[in-house]
Amino acid sequence: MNYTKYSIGSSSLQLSIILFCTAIGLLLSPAYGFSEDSVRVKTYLQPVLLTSAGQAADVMILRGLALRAGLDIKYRPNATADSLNDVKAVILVAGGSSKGLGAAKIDVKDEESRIKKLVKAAEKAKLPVLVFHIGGEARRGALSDPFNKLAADAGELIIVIKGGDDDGMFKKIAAERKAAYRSVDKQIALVDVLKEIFPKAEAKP
Amino acid sequence: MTTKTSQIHKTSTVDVKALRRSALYSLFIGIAVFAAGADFVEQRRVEPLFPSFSLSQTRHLSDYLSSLRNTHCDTDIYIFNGRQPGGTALILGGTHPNEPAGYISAVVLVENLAVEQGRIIVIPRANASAFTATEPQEAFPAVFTLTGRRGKPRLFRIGSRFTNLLDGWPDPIVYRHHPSGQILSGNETRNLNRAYPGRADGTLTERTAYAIAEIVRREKVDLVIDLHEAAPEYPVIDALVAHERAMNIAAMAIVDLQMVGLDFRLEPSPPNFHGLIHRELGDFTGAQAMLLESAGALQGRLRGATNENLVIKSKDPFYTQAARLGKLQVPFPPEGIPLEVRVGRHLEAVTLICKSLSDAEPAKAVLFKNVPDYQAVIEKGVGFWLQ
Repeated sequence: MNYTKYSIGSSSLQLSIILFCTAIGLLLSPAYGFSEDSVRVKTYLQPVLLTSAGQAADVMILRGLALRAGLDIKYRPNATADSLNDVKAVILVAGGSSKGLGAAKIDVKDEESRIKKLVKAAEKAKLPVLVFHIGGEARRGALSDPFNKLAADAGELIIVIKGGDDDGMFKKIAAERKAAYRSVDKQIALVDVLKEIFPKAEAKP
Repeated sequence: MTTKTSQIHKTSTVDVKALRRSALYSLFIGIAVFAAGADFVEQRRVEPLFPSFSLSQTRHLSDYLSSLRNTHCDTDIYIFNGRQPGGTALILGGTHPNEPAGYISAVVLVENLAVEQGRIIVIPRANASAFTATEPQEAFPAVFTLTGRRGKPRLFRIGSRFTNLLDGWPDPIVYRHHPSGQILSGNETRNLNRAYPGRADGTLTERTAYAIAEIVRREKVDLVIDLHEAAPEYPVIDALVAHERAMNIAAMAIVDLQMVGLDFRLEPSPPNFHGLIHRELGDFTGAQAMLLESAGALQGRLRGATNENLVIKSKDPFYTQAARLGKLQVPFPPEGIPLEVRVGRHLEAVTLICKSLSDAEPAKAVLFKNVPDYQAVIEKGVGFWLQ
């Protein structure tokens, strides 16, 4: 009788331990409790080449955010393969702007060609390409999407600000290419994201 | 004889009555003309400003182009010198006097500034002539009242987007911008923010633009900020528009503004749209030129009753409905976008743009104190920051 009781008690204890461990495991898994944003992400080295894919002013905002995050960045709005010397990662800020293209005195085809060549050179140099789409809905549509797709097709990490991927285009490309994908609510939150993926960043005034 | 006398008497009676009637009509017409005249003259009366104790000098626009003297475009320029050397910033309000946030922000600066490093030049009524009339058929109130810090009412004028037609009549059918040759509709010939870099022997508006460009050249201005307000349906709104040479500073300011919870869009100055202050002063002078836009229902086409309440509160049920339908470029809450929000955004942005310039180029630092930030304007109201 006692043995039976002990046996039942032992089984309950084992079951409880298993259930407890399972619950902890589930809580720590990306699907439960923690958002995908809090998954430990791959980190990258600096200095970083920062350039635009589409010449939108968003690249300047990301430059500001990167400086506030303390990144060692080489900002080259019209970066080419030659700009890859001495950098350890590439950030492409995706989104087209007719004003930006006009100011840079280049047309859509020139810009697309530049991005393609840059991406190819980065692949050859085995440099990671990180894609940021930070302009929201305003940087989607006929002018921006060819640049967005071109950049997203090259990125091993795609980061999108809320409103920029309501149709799931970036998420789908990331899933197809098995690239990491993160969605962030506000541009200012990218300061922490940049610090996280470039852990050796030192804040600058 | 009796009949004759009676006729004369009758005629004489009729004449007196007619005379009385004429006199009465003349009196009414006289009163009406006097009232209209007084109203007309009143529109040209410039309300006093009360600069802060740290004001170094007051000059006039005509000091930079003598042909503006004794015109309705001559206006006061307030110069604040810091104790330490640095850069020079020029801040304009009232380029469009129908955009009260720009004007009032410049007035708050004049009445509170204490410059510590560098120099700040403020022109609150950049287009002074445009303060002397409201826009025809827009039903704008002529003035609005804010209660100052000491509880006294302060009257501020609302003007027009354009130089007074009496100072520039007639408009050409098309306006050809100097020197680009760009063609715009005729009334734009009186729009100060289509007249840059201006012309010394041009129209009154072109001469005003030229005089402002002269300030930038002669005073070696490093930074120009023009303060505006626009309709909530306008795409360039809650925005900082910057010339390409000013983009670094503008972008850093936008990041800093986000850090204090204020979202601004960064808009590059269109390279092929001429006459705009950020394009032309950026191209024709050494200054980094930019323009700030806040959102106000007063500017929009969807607005309802256009009165003093709309000027100050910017609360409008039609805009609330438009926001619900997703037709606006900015959030438009039911409580509106009051002057506190619009002025607070401008002042915070001016402060952080100057800080960005000072961080990026320490030799051109422009640092100041006593100007309220966004939170201070929201908490205490705009009037608290007026003398």
